[in-house]
Amino acid sequence: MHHMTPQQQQTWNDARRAAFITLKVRAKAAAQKFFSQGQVFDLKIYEKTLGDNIPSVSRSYVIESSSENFWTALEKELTILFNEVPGYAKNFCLIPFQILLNGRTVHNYLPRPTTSRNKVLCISFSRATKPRSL
Amino acid sequence: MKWNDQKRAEAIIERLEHLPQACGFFLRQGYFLVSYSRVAETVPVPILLYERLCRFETRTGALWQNLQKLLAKHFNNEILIKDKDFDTVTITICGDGEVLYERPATLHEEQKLNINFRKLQTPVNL
Repeated sequence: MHHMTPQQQQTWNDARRAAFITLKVRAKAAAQKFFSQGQVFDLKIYEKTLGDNIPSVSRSYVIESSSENFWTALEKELTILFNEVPGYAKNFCLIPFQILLNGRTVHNYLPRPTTSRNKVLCISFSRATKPRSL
Repeated sequence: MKWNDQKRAEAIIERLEHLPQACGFFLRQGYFLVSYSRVAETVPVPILLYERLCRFETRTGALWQNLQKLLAKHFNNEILIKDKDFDTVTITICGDGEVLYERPATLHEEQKLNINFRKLQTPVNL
């Protein structure tokens, strides 16, 4: 999967999508700090169109495992989430997609040809406030 | 009575801990969001003053004490005196939008301070 691009891989399934996204995120330096033990974060997969964000799936997570186990767990979780996203919204061969870390785009992919530049699939990781324990 | 943040928190908890609906709401461990909002007749939408994500981890005995400390701390840190003047402000406490307790203003009601507790889905452990 390391050198694969969305176009080269024509037979996408949810597990491959999850592996691809995990790989891209993990490679970012900012991810090391963001995904540290004890952190709470929200993961959202949604479609961004010209005027609107159409939410697809969203879930909150708390990081309790060590780094290596975390990435494996995240990949599994992304597979589950992608399974819930409608098929047309996750066509990696045709729909542009962005990975966002705390609102900042860390990976941008524009397939050629693309069906539309007005629709982007966003995979967003955002830090949530640490809860106060009572 | 001369109010301070500790007394405000005590007054609320004293009433709340005897309400069956409040016990039902608060005795489920997990994540919740506490928010303070100003509700005024002249303003159509409540104004959010403060909100904080919390997690219940304790058993029943310590829960009310902890909740009292939390309320006092938030009153102290975040809420302006005009929003927490118990003589002129009606206090409403809600659990997931349902009113659990309302303490009417003892002088004249100008506005409400709404304290809302909202249960959240517990995050998945990764």
